[in-house]
Amino acid sequence: MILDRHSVATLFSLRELSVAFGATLRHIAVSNVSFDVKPGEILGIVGESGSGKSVTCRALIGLLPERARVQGEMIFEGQRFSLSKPRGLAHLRGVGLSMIFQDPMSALDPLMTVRRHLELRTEDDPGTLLRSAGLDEHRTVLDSYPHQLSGGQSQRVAIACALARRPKLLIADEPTTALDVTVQAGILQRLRQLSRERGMAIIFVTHDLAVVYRLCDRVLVMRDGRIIEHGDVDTVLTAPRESYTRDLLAAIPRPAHRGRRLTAAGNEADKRTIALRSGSIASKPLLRFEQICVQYKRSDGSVLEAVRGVSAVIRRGEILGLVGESGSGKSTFAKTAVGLTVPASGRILLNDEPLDWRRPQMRWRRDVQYIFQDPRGALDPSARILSQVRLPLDVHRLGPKAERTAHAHRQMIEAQLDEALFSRKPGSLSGGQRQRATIARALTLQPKVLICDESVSALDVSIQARILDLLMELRERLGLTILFISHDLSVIRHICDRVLVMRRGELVEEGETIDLFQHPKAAYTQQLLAALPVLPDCIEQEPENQRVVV
Amino acid sequence: MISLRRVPTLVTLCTVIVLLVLLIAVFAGPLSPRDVAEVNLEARFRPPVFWGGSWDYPLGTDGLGHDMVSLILRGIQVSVTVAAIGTFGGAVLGTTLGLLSAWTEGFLDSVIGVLVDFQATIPTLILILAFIVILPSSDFVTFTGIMILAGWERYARLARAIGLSARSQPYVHAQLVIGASAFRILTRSVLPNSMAVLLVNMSIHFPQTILLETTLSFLGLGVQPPDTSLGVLIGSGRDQLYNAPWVILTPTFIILLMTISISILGDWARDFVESD
Repeated sequence: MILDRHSVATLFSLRELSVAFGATLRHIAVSNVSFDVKPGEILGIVGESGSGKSVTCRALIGLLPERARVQGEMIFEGQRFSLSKPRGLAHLRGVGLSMIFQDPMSALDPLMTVRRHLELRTEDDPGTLLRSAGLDEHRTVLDSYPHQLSGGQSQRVAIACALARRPKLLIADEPTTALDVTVQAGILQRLRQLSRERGMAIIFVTHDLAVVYRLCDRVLVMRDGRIIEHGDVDTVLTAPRESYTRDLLAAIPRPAHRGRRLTAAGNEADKRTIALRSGSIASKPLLRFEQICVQYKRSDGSVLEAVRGVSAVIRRGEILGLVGESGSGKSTFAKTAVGLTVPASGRILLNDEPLDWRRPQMRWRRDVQYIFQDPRGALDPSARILSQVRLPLDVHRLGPKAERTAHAHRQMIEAQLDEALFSRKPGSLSGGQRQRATIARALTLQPKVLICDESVSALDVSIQARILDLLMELRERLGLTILFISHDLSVIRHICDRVLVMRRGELVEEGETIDLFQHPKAAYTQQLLAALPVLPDCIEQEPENQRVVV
Repeated sequence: MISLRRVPTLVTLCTVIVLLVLLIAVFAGPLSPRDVAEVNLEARFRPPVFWGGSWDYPLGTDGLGHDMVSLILRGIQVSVTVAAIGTFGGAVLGTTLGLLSAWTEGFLDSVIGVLVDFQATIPTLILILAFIVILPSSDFVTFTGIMILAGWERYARLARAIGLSARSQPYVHAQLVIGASAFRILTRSVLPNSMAVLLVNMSIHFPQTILLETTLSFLGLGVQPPDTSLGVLIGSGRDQLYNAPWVILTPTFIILLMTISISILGDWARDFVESD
């Protein structure tokens, strides 16, 4: 009966996919997911971590571990396949379905050249194949090993491998998440072209709604293993029906809402209270970097100049953004402020007092604090949260023990951490909770400057929104000065007063956020901004307006 | 946590044996039916009960009429004590040097590295024989000291690797930024996180130390008579292998049981830690 309704126009249908894990199969990762894909169509699947989007993809291609119980079937070009028997899917792989993964480095065999990767899969000319995946410099790439390639190049090689046997459906699981925006833009454009040229359908999994808007025709929104909403990209992203989709969209920083709260606050008035400061020129410089150079010795003896003569000033009470792609030296630069990297030359001044981290003083440690990208790694896995947040006070021997504990308590409540979590270990906390704990820990010493190094990059958008709100609130209340490092321009635009742009260890451009985003001077900044996927602007925040569209 | 229902029977059995051995090691004195030094020349080479002997001497007697039960209890006590001190001492010494080496780098790291490599290239037994020759006295303290020196190198190697990887961990960086001292980070953070690995390594090392002690005592280089150990017992039983085999067989069997049990426990613990 399904087959009758399965019209010629449909390439692929998934029927009632359910996946359960665990010894008792009590953990249900995906429940009752069905969708269709037409030839040449690009379907986006969005959702936050744990929504079941990756599990769905892996089930389609039969890559789930043995212990997973899979139910459901798929119809591919009119043929039925039971998903509970992954063996039956084997002869579809490569020819019918193909997949690319998030981390291209681990998807390629480190012991095989690119040529060998491709020759294993097809007898066609590997050069043409690479060119179709968007690698123009294919001559040099062909005889390289994966470790000699950049992230973008290896993802393109992975795409070429996936395309080698001319699949009808390509499954892409967060293929651009680990890549820089400019590289991402190129790959998205290439995927779109491939889909048009070959009539190849693509299922594109991502957590980034802006990427979906740029690439996809239709979108599924998943949450807790279910499809919450599906429809045309334009409809879903401009007039979402479900409140979850709406919250997800609202949580994404966008130009029109610069400096506003991203999460729904208790009252309406609160939404606009957190305003950004403009023209903070009047306030005094707090932290000054003068001609910072950082060098590393490579294993072959040559010197890598990670940071070349960068000067910057952070003024009291401002949020200064530092943007750059991977390898631009932005983290290396910021780490000189806390002595984690030692500059080869240059000076760092805090309140006009030079900081020499080769002769560190405990006083400086209290004034400058650093929050790392990965909250999982930044917390000691074997110690309880409370004792970790109290640690700075213990180290600096501030007050009697009971008072320290009380102070740590207050700090964690300020960071919106639930009291029930205080005596837990980091392993049982979510990513957002862990990042709150690291923020609480950094703030216990009441620092003057807080350096946030990609502190929201590893988090889901809704959690990112809450952390950004928290940071802005803390700035407002405590007069905190923040150096905010990110590769994500939309986040930078949302919370920063001024922005520095770095590339290959050098400062490219510097300016007030609004000026810089509207009139970028440097060619590189223009390129970055052009590559940034943006959401449609016409979205309405108030739910009243949405009903009209539906 | 470990749910007891999932523990294999063999592991449970080994746990019981190890606990029993530990109890004996602590309470050997009160448990002994006779004085270890008590000589009864009228009851030489009495066979054990299961060999047609009497309940006066359940495990028989040796060539001087010593009660084998008392000898073996004392032997277990001495052997386990020496092995425990050797293992723990080696672990503490090695871990300290290893972490120090990883943290300081530079000259100290090179010196410790050379020492580790030196010890790894020379067979342990030969190295220990050299120590015994060099050191003037051969009392109990010297002997346990030698056992410590025999085993520190593997811990140093392991702890150095742990320390090096910890240095690039964000949680260590985070504590450096707070202002925590290297000592604090190493003892309060790096060490607790590597405890599982070190404990498992100790459980593998422990039976080897027992064997080393018995080997040396068997050769007459370890525990000196009149005190006894499992190795000394085996050494003295060697001469009567034909007419009184129980003198050598009983301590041998106990060593076998002990080392196998601890090894199985260690293997299981390692699997448990690694699967987590």
